[in-house]
Amino acid sequence: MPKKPKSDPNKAAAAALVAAATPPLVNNCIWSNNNAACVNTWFCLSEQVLGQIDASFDDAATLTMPDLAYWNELAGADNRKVEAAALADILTKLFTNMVGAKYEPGQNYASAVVAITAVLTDENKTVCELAAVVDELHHFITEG
Amino acid sequence: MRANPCSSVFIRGSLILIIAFPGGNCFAQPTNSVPLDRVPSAILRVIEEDDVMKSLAVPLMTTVLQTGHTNGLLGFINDWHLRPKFFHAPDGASDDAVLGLEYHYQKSIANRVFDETWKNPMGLSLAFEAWGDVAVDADKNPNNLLETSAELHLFQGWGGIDPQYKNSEEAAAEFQRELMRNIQDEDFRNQRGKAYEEMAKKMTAHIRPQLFWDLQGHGTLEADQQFHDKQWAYGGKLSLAFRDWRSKSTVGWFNVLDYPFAAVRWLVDKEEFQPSGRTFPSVVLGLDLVDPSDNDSRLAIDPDSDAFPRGRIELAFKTRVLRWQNKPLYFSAAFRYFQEFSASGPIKAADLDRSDYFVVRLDLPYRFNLSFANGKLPLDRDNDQVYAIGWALGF
Repeated sequence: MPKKPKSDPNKAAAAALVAAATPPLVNNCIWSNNNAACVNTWFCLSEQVLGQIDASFDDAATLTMPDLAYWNELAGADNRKVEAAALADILTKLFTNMVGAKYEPGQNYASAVVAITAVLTDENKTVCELAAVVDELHHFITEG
Repeated sequence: MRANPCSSVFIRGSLILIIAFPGGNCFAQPTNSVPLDRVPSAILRVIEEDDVMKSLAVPLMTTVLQTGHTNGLLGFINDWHLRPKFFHAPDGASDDAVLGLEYHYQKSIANRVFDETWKNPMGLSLAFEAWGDVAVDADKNPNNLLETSAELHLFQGWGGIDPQYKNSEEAAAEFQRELMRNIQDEDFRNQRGKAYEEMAKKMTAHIRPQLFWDLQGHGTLEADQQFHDKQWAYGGKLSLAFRDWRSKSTVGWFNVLDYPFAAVRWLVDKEEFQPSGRTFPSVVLGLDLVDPSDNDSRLAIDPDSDAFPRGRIELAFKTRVLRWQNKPLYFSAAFRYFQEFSASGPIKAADLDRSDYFVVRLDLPYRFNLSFANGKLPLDRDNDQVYAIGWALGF
């Protein structure tokens, strides 16, 4: 039976200090495979569905919007916005038609498209933050 | 007030090293470019380490820019996206780089849906938006154009999902539960395996071609950063994006722009020859009435301060060329054309009645890219043509 490697308390303490000093990677955002918004967002954006990201679920959280296939660095703001809106439109339609999500109280198709488009066109936003917005807009069946 | 399109290439919070080759009547370098001999060797060593840059930049950016919305004022500040930039204009009095700031503010004020029972609901949105570049020295700002606008949008996505299809609540709930079960599986989480393929197939089974349109009315103030030259523009825009999101689609065969790249994917990646339905070019058509009464540079050429009509068409296209070490390499292109209608003689003589701008870029392995830009934008007097090879690091 292989020996269990000894943990170095100094290294562990240093790592804990670094972890404590580092702010969460994305603000107000927890990426979890138990969160329906995270799972649905990643799955819908994945290669064989909408073809936007080819990263694993675990790696997708920190991807930013320019990492999505649709993002065209050279496009004018209006072109990028309408392309993002088309993606937002199909995302909210997949959520509401295919996985049975309802809009949260006060939200509707228009607010969903506008809010998702705003995230998709913000180069600093991550996929995790996109999922957080999706979560605020939609109520998924498994959320109870 | 002038905007130099040669200098409009910027890659998201990136340090870009560019070697530009003149190919026309100017020799300019893209915005934010820093000549290699100006970059200390220690920095050159560090920027190769993606993780090092991320470990420095991400905590800083999250701490400074991503504050929580604890009150209205902080929320307002947080909605402003500010990003430091370097501007480098070698055709100026000095070719020193100057520090600047890019800003973007976007606020949706109200959203309405006409009838939520429609399969393809139509939305209405009122929004405010401001964006531009500000440099410490305005003369060295190659993108010296600030735009501030109030916009009313009417938009709708036709299609996307088969209009005849209605998923039952039970089936949708079962699909969702199956997805939540499968995500616990490592293969599924890596977009691999039979379960992933089957669920993706189910999810896309009822996807149909989609046309998204956005009709916008707006009032926009265009100004240089010192507000010496400014003009109001009122008008409308129609933006269109057509997509078939399925990886294999009959509609994709109409995407003729993607044929050469489909051929490369077929030859190099050994994929089936299939032009993509996901990458049809997007189109923006616009008509503005521009009031030049505060645009001193224009009035110096033509004293007529009456408002003039201006049309525009903008196209954008991006598609995957191939995969290199499992990373996609893309071809991107954009074209922008502006035309002033019934322009006066002096404006035509100064070549200010028409402007077009074309730019293409091909991603290369190891974050290099090749690009070519030609033309000018409104308020720019110089026609520029630039070939460039660049290298980018995102952080």
